[in-house]
Amino acid sequence: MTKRAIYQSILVLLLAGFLLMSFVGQAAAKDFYEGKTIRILVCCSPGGFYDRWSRLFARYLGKYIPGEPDIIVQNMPGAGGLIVTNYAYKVAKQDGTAIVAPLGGQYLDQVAGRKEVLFDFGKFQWLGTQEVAHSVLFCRKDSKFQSVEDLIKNKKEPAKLGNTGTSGSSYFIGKVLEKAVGANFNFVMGYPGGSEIDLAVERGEVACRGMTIPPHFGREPYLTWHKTNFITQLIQTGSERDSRMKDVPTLGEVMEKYKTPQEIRSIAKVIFASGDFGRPLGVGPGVPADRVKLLRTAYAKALADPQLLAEAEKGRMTPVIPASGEKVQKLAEFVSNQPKEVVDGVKAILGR
Amino acid sequence: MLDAFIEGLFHVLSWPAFGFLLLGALVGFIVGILPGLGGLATLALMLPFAYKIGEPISAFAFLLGMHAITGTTGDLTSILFGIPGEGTAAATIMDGYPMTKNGEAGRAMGAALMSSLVAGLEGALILALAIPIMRPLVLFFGSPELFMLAILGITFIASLSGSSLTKGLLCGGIGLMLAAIGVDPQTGTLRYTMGTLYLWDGLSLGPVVVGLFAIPEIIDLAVRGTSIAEAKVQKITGVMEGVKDTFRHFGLTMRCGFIGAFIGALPGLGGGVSQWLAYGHAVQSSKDPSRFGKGAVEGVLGPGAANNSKEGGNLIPTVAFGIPGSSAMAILLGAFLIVGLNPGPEMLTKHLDITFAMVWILVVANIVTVGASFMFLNQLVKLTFVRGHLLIPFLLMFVFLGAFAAHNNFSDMIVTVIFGLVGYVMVLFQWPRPPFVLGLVLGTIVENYLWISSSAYGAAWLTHPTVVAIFLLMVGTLFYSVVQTRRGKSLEDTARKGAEERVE
Amino acid sequence: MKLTLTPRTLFSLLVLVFFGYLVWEAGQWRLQARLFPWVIGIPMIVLAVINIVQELRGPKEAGASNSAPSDFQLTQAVDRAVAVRRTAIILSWIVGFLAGIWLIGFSITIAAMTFGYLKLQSKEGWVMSLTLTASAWLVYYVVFERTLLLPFPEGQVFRWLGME
Repeated sequence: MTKRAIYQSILVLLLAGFLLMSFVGQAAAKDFYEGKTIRILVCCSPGGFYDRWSRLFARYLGKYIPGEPDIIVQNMPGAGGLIVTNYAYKVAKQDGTAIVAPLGGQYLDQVAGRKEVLFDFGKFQWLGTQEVAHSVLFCRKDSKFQSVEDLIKNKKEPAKLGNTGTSGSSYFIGKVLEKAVGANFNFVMGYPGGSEIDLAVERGEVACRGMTIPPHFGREPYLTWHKTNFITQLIQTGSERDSRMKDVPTLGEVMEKYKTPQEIRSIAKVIFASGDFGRPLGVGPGVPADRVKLLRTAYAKALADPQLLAEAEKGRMTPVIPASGEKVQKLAEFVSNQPKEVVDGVKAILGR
Repeated sequence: MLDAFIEGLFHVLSWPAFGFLLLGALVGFIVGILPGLGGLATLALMLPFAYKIGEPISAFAFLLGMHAITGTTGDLTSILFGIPGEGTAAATIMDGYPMTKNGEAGRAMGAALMSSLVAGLEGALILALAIPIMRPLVLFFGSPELFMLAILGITFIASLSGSSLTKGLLCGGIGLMLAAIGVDPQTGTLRYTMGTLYLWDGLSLGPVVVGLFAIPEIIDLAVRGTSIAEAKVQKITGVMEGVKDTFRHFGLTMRCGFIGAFIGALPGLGGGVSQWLAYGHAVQSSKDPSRFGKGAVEGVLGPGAANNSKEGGNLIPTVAFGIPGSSAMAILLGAFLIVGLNPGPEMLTKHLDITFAMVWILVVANIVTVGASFMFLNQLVKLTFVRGHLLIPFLLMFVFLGAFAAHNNFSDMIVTVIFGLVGYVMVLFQWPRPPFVLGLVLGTIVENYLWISSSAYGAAWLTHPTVVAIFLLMVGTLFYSVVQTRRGKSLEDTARKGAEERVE
Repeated sequence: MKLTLTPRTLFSLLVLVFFGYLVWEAGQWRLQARLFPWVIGIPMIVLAVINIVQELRGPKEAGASNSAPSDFQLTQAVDRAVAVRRTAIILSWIVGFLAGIWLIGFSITIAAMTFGYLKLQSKEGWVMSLTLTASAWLVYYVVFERTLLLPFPEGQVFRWLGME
């Protein structure tokens, strides 16, 4: 083929493309989603709470969207969630057929200024979230560590805290407590996953672990651990006490007690805002506003669907605490725009 | 307890549970035999059916039956086409595919299926026997023990090296080095990621193994210009021959079955480990290790057995603690909740009959599938006599689909092609591939559990009785295999080998 | 000692370079991140040097001995020149397949490559080529696209042309 022939065929293809797009645009005036397929892109592998929530929505969201599109779930795990978040922001079509379910704490990579981050968390258009997922730190009941005070006191033999790596909730809680109140930890790093840390707690290899609260009350082995009084919860990161842990102090209360400087409090606030995000759903920055509105409404309606709630209840994905898209949006904008002192503090704590 | 044991069997054989079991086994069969169709993704896809089925036994008959079968039939693809059905289950290729090339596909498949069945039953039996002692059993093995087990696995590199120990160790070393790729969990350092996000999580085993093994074979097939099977030997007799092989090497099958169940019961070692350890063990315990890689039936029996018995082992921590022993078990754990069961201590007391029913599901699903497979085998064997040119496009398609489907990532396919070339060059210049895979599989485990052991126990872990016991076992097997190898070789050979070993 | 740089030795040299580079790169990291690559890598550099010396000293002894590694061996039955040509051809198909997936996506590549290989490379008849192509594509479409719902990436070409 000559160069000219190539240019010509490209031109023809382009024209055809534009025609097709304008045709699609015409159809949008009616029900854009009719006959379409929406993909929910999940940060994580099958089996976890992120995946399960996405699959639950995949079965209920469609009927509340005009045109009743098919909804499918696609797992795109990798690089601590950055792969899916970058993809949804940069690569996925911005026509409202790609919904992203990123890690709630994904913005931390952005705040810490990682160069691999291609997104602005505040510019995603959020549909909402169905839960809050704050963190809790617990230790074995038969260990020396039954309160934050014990963590501070035991300098010689600090609490062994199980971690997967430097980006899990366990690590965050440990590091923030070190900084904010002078707690001491022996960070035991490198477990392949949460299950392995749990086993390590069972056999006494480590004494403590930090994790998000929903699975803490929704899964084994924790259910048994609560029943048999095997562990003590030391601190929780939400701004208010969780209804199931009324006597466990929040991080805010503890920092108040130990007179933590304001600067560190703001840092902690940014780090643990991930809890308020829960497991949010959003769409890319280029999606037209009317479609975002449609999706937000549908999201809210689906979350009120008694059948969905019953299934969530059955799968112990509770409690469902919905937050609207607008609310999540505000939060995302807040965490994405932090003054330099806070950013530096976050960087220092996360070791990035 | 005997009541619960028998009650469990009746649960499984009653209608509709049995029907769901058959359905699950059928889906599992298809999923297993198509490369790239991951058992994990399929499980996640099928999980919602558990809501619809509702009743625990039927739901498990469907899901667990399906899951148990994917591993079994995955071996068939490895044997027939040299493409691993799943990345974690590739060790069967090592000798299964050469057997096919020798015209012994039937025998290899017979051996793989029969050893799967025998070891599946063994795994179920181990699960049943372990029920009263499950909790202490799992708790007994801490990070230092896992570390030692991984080191034990690494010593297999020596016996997998074949003629040149130097090259074998170097290959193992390459594997270990590549295992360091990714975010280092100790410090968060990005190691060897070459500026890509993709490598943050390290090289994933599936794409590497598919490339390393399938692509050189495809190249060889194209060069030969014949069918996969080079020689027309026996046809139907082959399958029964493989069945007999299982009983000829019954001890090996049982030992590898035990390895599978044991490793399966220890969360934290990962799926790829048990099969390769079983293969390493088969080679190491053989009187003539040089036959391996060229179509030794023991090289099929070992991984075939381990592949299946690990499911029984995986269930142990899942049932005893509600802590999943593998990613597939994590999904099954979701199914527990959906059908209203609490995995955990209750499963060993109030719901003991259901726990035993799960044992029986593994048993019955295996018997049904292996029985049914024997009817298909002769048809499958015929495929290996089809002209290679007709198969190559299909093989390529499955290589790429298989590489992609593991994580839905394009880069996985690039990795497959790169390691395909590496594998080809390794074969060309006679660098052994198994030590490389072993190094890759065990590298992360060794590093992490060493750090965990030393930060959680200081130096005290070195004197744990189990650690010492595994160390002695390791020295013993090494000594045994050196003696074995020396005895089997000519004088001149022995002298050279000895010189090489001194160099190390 | 005669020094002949065969491809075999070249590969051994590459292995040495591989370890050398990885050990060097690890040098910039903090101790905990660096330790493992060094503990493995540095002895391996020594071993790689030994390996090269062995190969240079006695290529016959180190390489072409009958006691090959426990691994499969490439066929020796085909004439060498033919083998090289066929290897080059199949390698280009493999790389072409990957390039095709990147440029025009899975769906078209699978159909085009299967048909291309059957019709052009192995000179099959039309009926055979079309039937097999259709069945390959159907397996892909029904199982992977429709049932498993895998997120197959769009071809890069379509993205450049803006017609996703």
